[in-house]
Amino acid sequence: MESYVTVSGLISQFLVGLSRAMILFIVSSGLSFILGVLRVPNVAHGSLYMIGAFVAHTLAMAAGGGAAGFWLALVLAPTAVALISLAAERLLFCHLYEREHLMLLLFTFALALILGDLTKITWGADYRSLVAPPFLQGSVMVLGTPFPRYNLFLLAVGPVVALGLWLFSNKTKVGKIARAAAVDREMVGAIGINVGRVFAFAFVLGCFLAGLGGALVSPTVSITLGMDHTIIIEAFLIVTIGGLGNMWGALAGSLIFGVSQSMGILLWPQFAIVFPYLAVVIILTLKPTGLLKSVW
Amino acid sequence: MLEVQGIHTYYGLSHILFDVSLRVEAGQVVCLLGRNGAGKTTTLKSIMGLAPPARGRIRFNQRDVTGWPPYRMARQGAGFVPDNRRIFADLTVGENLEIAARQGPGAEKWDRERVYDLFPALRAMDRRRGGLLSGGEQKMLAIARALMTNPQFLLLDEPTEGLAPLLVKSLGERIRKLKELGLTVLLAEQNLRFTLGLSDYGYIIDNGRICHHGRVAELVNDPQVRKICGI
Amino acid sequence: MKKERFFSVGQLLMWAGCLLAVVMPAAAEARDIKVGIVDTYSGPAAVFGNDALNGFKLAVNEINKQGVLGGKIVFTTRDEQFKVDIGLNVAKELVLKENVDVLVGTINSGASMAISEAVAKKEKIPFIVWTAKSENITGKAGHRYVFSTAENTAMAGKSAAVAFAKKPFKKFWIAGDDYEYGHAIADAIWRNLKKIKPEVEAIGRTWWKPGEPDLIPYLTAIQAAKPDCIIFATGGVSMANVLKAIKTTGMENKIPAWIHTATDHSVLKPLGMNAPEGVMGTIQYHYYYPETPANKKFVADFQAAYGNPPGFPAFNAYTTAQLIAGAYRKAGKIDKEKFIDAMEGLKVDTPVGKVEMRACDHQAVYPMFLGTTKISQEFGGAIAADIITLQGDEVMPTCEEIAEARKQK
Repeated sequence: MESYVTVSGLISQFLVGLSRAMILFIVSSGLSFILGVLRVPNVAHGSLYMIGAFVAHTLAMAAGGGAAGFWLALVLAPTAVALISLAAERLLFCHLYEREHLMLLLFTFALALILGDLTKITWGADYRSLVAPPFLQGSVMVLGTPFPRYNLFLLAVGPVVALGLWLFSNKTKVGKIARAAAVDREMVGAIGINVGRVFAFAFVLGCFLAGLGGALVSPTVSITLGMDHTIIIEAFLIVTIGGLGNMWGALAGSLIFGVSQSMGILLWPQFAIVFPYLAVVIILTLKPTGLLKSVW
Repeated sequence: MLEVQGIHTYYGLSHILFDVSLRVEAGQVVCLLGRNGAGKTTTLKSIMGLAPPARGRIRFNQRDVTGWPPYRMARQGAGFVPDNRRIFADLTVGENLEIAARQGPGAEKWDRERVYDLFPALRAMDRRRGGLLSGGEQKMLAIARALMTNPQFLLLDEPTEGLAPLLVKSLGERIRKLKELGLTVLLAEQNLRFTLGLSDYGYIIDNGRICHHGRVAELVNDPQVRKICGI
Repeated sequence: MKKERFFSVGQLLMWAGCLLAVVMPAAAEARDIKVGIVDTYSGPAAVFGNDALNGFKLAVNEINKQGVLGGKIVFTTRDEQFKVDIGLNVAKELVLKENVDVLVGTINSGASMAISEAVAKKEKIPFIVWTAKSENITGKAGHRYVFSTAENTAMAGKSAAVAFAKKPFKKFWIAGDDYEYGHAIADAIWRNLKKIKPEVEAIGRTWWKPGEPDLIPYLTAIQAAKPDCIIFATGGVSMANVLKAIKTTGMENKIPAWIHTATDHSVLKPLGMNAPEGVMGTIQYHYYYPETPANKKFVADFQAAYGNPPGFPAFNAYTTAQLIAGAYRKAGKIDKEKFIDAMEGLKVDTPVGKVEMRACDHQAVYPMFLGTTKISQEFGGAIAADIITLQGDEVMPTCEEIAEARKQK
């Protein structure tokens, strides 16, 4: 079979992979953060991502479906998701902190199932489509190959979120407390800080990121039931190969996953599905604890 | 200020403390002496809420605080300095102090400047990651961090362990200084001599039981105590 | 002296008469016909499962007004969750525990084939496939106990080939969902197209996992290869994803694309005014075409009952219900073998006219509508325009081809 790989094709495809990695990063950084501070894999993360997409669609449609609606949805949908997670945390989750670790995991699993069904009940089985605001529609030519404008937007948003997270972790008191709690929650309590509040905050922030990922991805995919399953597997793999609880690890993992997937599609379309998982296997074989330092 | 009444504490199924009782009056420095594994750390942890007792009572400032979570104890004015330091390795020295800062019930107003006055060596390392400090420096940081919560009462777990003699001496001076400033201290130690100049009263703990207690001067002359404490 | 019997002979006869009078009508009294439905009611494909169920319910409500053989058609559903093993299990349960008279379903070709082989054939119970499109169902894997009221990949393939024969495209790229349906449809199209126009060339093939949400990287890669036309072999949700990606990557109106059932309104509606134009598709049912009185009534009734217009699964299921009722009436009793005999060659009224259940392969014969997407202000989105109708016999494999295929199995 002839090869249609050109330099411009490679670059364009690389950029597409990079922009996909941005969404993966936003979602998995949230998962990683929760994992680091609470030491719990949040199985409901994918469901919250899906709800973020559905809510974004509903809000954007309610606001008229145009550009204003989109931006509004982008801000409000993650907030709504954060509120949902806060409700779950305050009502049930916080009572489990003292219990065995396994209980927390089971709780997030139950939450994932409940949210999945609630989504089906609220929005039905039909899939929805959200449109990007007009100036982000269409494509620009990048070295002779068309590149969707919205993906350029994603390429800008990703680093902004990364910067925001970094500033939060390293420059704010709450961020520092969260980092301390990730390593030694007992001692954080011993200096007078209510660790339960820290957990609540970390959980809500992580879920906000999941919702943000869902809202951002909605113009590029069909919003359907089942979105939660695909993303949660990818996010877990990314967090594992990046290093548990490590934000830079989530970034590295997302880049590897996203780019290997898109390059695989260009270079070997029949087996493109395999590439990112192959990358995961290789990384974990060479470095079982992940590329970067795990928090624990 | 502190009254521990007949507590029994377990780690899982292991019965560690048997009917431990002690008292610390305001302004005192009381020591808890014993060998390795005698139950000193467990006693301190039981008081702080890190290892709540299964039976018995703990009263702090006339309030029953048995089983209170550590953060409430800290807010009540208890400062805990663990024997293994447990400083936040990923944060800098300054950040370790920053997140501990709070307005506590202590009479003194501790802030970063005053704490650095007490431990000048730390000032120079304000920006260094906690994990890079030496053992002795970390011990100082652990005490400094506890002070930042402005406690009335300090629980010190083996502060001299692993320190060079010169550092032990300087640490002793600092604890004396804190006592002068009115801080109440419960000091768990293996080193009887170190506690001599510092404490008023002492409890000897052996195999999880309080076997002797009394004024330090009396204890020092008691041959059985000397045997237990390896002097 | 003769002892008096407890009951005299006369009384005995009277009791016997009464008993018979009670029992016999009960034996002769009709019972309800039980239909077992296996379909997908969760996950992205649920939208099609629900559509089919609604179409079936609409038909059954009408049919039950008159009744069939003195009883009603009743049904029970099971969710296969788009999984073959679950579909197989629930089908077995419906037959062995619920004792249904006829099985219908599903959207998953793999599940349909499994049920056809392991349940329908084995338990000798008629199974009517109403959405799954694999041509193997009535083709090489077909047998006496399986029917199809879905159009299948062979028909779609031939329709596409007929359409492409008239266009100047030479270099094709084939892309689609990596599962049975995707490959089947790609093969059917390519097989038929190569026959009609041997000079066409498949310059590349891309397969993604079914339901893959982000197809932009795939499309950008394909565009780089500059094919004359892209054939998308996608099912279910992927169709919407492909259409969306066509729009987002700016492929619309630059490289022609063909997707079977892309012109279904359940696919186009969520995209609204942002659906791409110029995409070709084939389908056996549109709610807005043809504008026959029968179709209009069907659409109106469906809309009134369910709040949205019917899609092709609803149409297939409606036709299935008509066939079931018609076959039982023709058979005269609730008997599986007689039912099957009655089905063969049966013609029923449907919104698109009379549809025949072909005897030689148990496949419903549908006309195919070939259209191109075009935005319509009136519909608030894209619809199929410039519709060409291909008659059923133009697009069906012949009975000889079917017999040949089954023999080779």
